[in-house]
Amino acid sequence: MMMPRRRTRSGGMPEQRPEQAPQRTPERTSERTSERTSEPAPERTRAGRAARGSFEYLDDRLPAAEGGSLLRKAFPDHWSFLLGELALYSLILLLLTGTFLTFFFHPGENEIRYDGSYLPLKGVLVTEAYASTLDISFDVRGGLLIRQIHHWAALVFVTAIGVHMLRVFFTGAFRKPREVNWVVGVTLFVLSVAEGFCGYSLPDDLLSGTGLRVVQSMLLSIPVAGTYLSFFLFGGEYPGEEIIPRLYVTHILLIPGLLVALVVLHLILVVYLKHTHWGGPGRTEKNAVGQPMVPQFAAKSAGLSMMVFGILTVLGGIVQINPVWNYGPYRTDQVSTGAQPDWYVGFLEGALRIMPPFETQLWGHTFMWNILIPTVILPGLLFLGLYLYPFLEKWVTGDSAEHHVCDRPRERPVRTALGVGGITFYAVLLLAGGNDIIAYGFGVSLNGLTWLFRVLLVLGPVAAFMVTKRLCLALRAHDLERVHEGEETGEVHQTVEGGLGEPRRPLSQRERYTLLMRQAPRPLEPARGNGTEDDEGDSGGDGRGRRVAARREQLRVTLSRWYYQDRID
Amino acid sequence: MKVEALLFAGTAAFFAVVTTVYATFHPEPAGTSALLVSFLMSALISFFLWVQHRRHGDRPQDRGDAAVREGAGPLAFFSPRSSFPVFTAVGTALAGLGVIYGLWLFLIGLGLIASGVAGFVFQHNDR
Repeated sequence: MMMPRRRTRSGGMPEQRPEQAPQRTPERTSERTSERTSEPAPERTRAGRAARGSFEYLDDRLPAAEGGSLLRKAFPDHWSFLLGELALYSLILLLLTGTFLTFFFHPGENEIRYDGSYLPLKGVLVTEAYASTLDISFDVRGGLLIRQIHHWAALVFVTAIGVHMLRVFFTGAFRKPREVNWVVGVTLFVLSVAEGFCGYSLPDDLLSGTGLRVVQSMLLSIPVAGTYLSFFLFGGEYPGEEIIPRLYVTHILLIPGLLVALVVLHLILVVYLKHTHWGGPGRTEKNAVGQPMVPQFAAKSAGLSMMVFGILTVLGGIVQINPVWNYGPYRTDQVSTGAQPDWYVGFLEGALRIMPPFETQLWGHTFMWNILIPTVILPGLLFLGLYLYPFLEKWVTGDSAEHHVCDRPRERPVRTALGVGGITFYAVLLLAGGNDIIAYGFGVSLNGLTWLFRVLLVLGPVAAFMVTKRLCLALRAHDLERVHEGEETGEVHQTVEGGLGEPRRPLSQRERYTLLMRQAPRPLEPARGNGTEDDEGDSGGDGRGRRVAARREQLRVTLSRWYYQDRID
Repeated sequence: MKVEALLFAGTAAFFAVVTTVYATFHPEPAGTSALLVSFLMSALISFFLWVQHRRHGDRPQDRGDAAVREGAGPLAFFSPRSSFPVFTAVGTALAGLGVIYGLWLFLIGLGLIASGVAGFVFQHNDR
């Protein structure tokens, strides 16, 4: 299959191996003129000779010369392309701080009497996991700082992945040839949420234990297999003594291993496929225009990494997060008010809170739809939708060309509107997860809020879709007005007749090119002939197969028309 | 600016009359001070506009016998479009609600106001 054919355009150094010269040791050639061989001129300074010697030493053992072409690799330059790096650097900080924490955390569920320096809990029966977390917070030098950096970095990690995913979605960077990278990325998202859940459940405090109970009820709600799954996960009745060590292994080995491997794959794919770039003069689907890796991109990246590390450290140092000593150890019969999970799980919490109490009794068993739908089916459908979106869009639009130029979101109104509708859905669920806090803070009825969120969940995304689509079309119309009539200057003058006028300045050539360079695609045409006319069925099955295929094609054309019919030219 | 000064002088006069009537017949601190402040504010604007008129002299708008064509020419720069007024307004609304609901909301509003004002100030920096 064809590899993507894009030339990097950053003045790349042609890849070359240094010739295998007959003399391996560099000679002192300061007195001689350069030889007329195919070899490059011998270095005249000691530093030059040392550099050449060390490079040859490495290249004899490692693929150093192959790495040379990477040095000038073009990285398209835009702030929105750095969002993934925020996630990458948060992950690095998580690995570093997490390693420190593993030196002091003991994932045991055997109960001991707490005997550290936090006096209000002195003598209280707590699990070893909880006690070691308190030790890290109060008795290990720098422990609380590292713990808080770790937790803040986790929140920023999931946030950065989400924002990066949205950028990729709205610019259409998931299209061919990047569908596999999109699948890898969504998997990273799912893993990061799971990793965060495991992480904050490790201290075995009251708040995270409440979340653990929610997970157990989520498992129990699964029909037929639920009880077995719950007993399998917890090693018996809830809460048992197995869950914390199992979460620990998952949190420090299984998921981080997968995360690192998938991140490496993700980055390799970005390097191999080359990053997308925004449209403009000189940028086509066949090239990648950007800054070379060394020194510009590497410097920018290094600077960003320092900023991320710095800001996360400051956050970890001055903003308290997850004060488990305030919550107390986990007791299965207790729960405190204002209990919410970490923000990235909040949408599931909200779904659970606003779900109406549907359950059915069948054959002596209760099917708890009010748990199953919000916590199992809803996230399943959401992530399935995310995974499948590139393929769905490809089917609907019939677009199988390679795409390397980013779409401006306004150029794809339906896709952008679908994305905003999805975000609205997520936001309503997230707010619903904090319905008790909102009711308390604003003094409104909790039941009223629940009903409000139920209504908003259904109507909000639809309204958001319609408004966003119209906004995109309006923005595109405004762009075209600017192209055809020029930019308003704002310098108002009064005419001789007494009217007011404002001259318009034509756009620059580059801006006009960027705005006009792409046409909105056309919807799919229906196939020639109607759908269901061939029914001289050889066999009934064959005719039915043709009818089903025709129906599918009809659906495809209808959806394609819905996608692309509104256009401003 | 003579016409504008007279307009606001009229407003000030109205408030002066209303304040006097109010203070005489139904004195009450909140209303009296509100009306008094309204008079003072209108008077201040009128005074400022009168000073501008004295400094710059008559414009075509200030003379009764001016022709329309005398006002022709460049007027001023008016920003053709800006999202910052809406931004700042939302921030102000949130800050106002924050006075009721808590410092956290007030600070969020303050943040939006600050960035909105910065946007206002620097939007046409290159003019």
